[in-house]
Amino acid sequence: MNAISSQSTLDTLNPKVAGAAAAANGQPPGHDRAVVLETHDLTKSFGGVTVVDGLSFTVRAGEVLGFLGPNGAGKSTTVGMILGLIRPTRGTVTIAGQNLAAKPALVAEHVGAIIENPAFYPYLTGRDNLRALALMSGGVDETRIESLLRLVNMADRADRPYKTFSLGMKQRLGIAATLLTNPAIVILDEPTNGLDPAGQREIRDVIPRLAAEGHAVLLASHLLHEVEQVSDRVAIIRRGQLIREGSVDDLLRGGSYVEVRVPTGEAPSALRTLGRLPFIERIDAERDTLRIVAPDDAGEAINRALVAQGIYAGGIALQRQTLENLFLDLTEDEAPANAA
Amino acid sequence: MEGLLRSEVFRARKRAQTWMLVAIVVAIEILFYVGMTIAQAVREDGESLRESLRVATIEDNGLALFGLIGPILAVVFASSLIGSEFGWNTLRPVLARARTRAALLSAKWLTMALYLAVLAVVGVLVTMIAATISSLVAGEGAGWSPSTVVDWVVISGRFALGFLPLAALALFVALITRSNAAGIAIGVAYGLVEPTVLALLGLLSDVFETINKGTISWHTGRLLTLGGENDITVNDAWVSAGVLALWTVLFVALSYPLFNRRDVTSG
Repeated sequence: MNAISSQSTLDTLNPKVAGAAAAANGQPPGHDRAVVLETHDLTKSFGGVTVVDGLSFTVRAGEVLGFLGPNGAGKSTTVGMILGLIRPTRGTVTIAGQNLAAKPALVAEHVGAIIENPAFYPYLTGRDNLRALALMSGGVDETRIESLLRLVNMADRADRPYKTFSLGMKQRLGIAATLLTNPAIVILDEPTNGLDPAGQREIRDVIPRLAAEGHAVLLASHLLHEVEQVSDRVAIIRRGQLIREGSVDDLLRGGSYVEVRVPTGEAPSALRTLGRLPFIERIDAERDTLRIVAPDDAGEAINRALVAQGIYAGGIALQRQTLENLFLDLTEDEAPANAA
Repeated sequence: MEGLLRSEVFRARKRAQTWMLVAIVVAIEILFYVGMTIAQAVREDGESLRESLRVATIEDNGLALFGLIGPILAVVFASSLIGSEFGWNTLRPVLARARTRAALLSAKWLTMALYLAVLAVVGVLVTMIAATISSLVAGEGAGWSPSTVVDWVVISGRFALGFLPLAALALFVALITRSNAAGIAIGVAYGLVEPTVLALLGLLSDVFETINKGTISWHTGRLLTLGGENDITVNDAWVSAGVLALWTVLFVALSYPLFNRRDVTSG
């Protein structure tokens, strides 16, 4: 399957959008790191139950913000408030420097979104669904519709009724619909859901290119490795509260360890040997595998110390912190809950 | 709002249900007059039946039938305008593209009104054509006059206005219940139950008789049977039109604040 599109196709779809956002923030055109979306103390309670609590984060033009949280953490409710579908109990949503509460039209003007699963009219074809949305938005011509269908590899299948689409086809059409108005902010909720591996890769290729073109992308996904690959920053929420935010590199720094496999029965001896090394911060042993928290380049010194004691390790490898491990560490006591 | 309205019309045109409802009217009217044409040929009292085929008597015949089925079809269409959006989960994506919720809701109300106008025009026209053909087949004159076209427009307007309140009720109920089925059920049930219940209560007390004269069904009945055996005046017809318009405005007006304040977490 071909990649979704060449760079030139994406270029023709998207004149610079960052200039508008930059201007809205009083910054010169071309300053493509302007804050395009901002939430401040965003809170929502339903019947006395607070599902989003004081959430504050920003998304800048040209970046991908991964939005993570376990089920029921409040991701969908947060997206709902950003889209004006749910009224915050407290706090504000600011789009392109303007308060959403004062100007509800900001969503239509600046945001394209897939909300949970893509939803379209089953009796319309894929192409007609995009036409119907284009009419709502105004200013979207047939050329753009065709370009987007080519972008998502749906041009030759778009004349089938939507109700006959596979899940992957629905996801592709959803992405095309999200980009119809060339929005400054793109919100994607599980965009690769239902896609085969090739399709998932294609979508992962598109997301950073959207950011490169100046869109601000908010990506909500449970596929942590996918978020790790494409996101510039990550915001992790739990029980409606932001518990960690930062660049992927910063979040993953410091979580690595050296994993050593020793011959059967040698673990106690290895533990005593390595415990005397000054640069070792911590050692956890599980049967014949040792997990050693130490500087990333300590593998050679560890190997030398073990060999000096006659212990020949079966394997020594640096295990880097992953987003998945970090996410699980931060949320592992989260009880399963219905998504709000 | 123009874009939203154009999208609503585009989608309505593409939806089979839109045309099926109109086809039901066409089919029923044709079947009615075919049946009447056959009956006048075979029955001994065919003379009186031939009179019923004439265009001049459609208010008491074909249009009376249209007055029974039309409101049901109007309720089905109106309820599905918003009720189906909840069922398909398309309301949230649509709302995200609407500049305001009021604009979206206005587009739906206008689409409903446009469709009722089309339904009324087609229903009355088909009835007139069916009656004309039937009369000619029966050897009677068609009964058209210089004012027939004008009559068609006026009668269509009366029917469109007569369908409005129940359709508006159905759309309103579908909006607040988030259910297409509820909108249809309440709309149809109200149209059936209201006249029956109030007529029965009117036997018990004059108070209910008075209340009955403010109801949708009472004024719809007057408006849709004007010109037939009904002996109301044109002035009374205008009063009924005004009352029906007020009922419609009531449902429309209530829908905006309810829709604006609601959190849309599904649909």
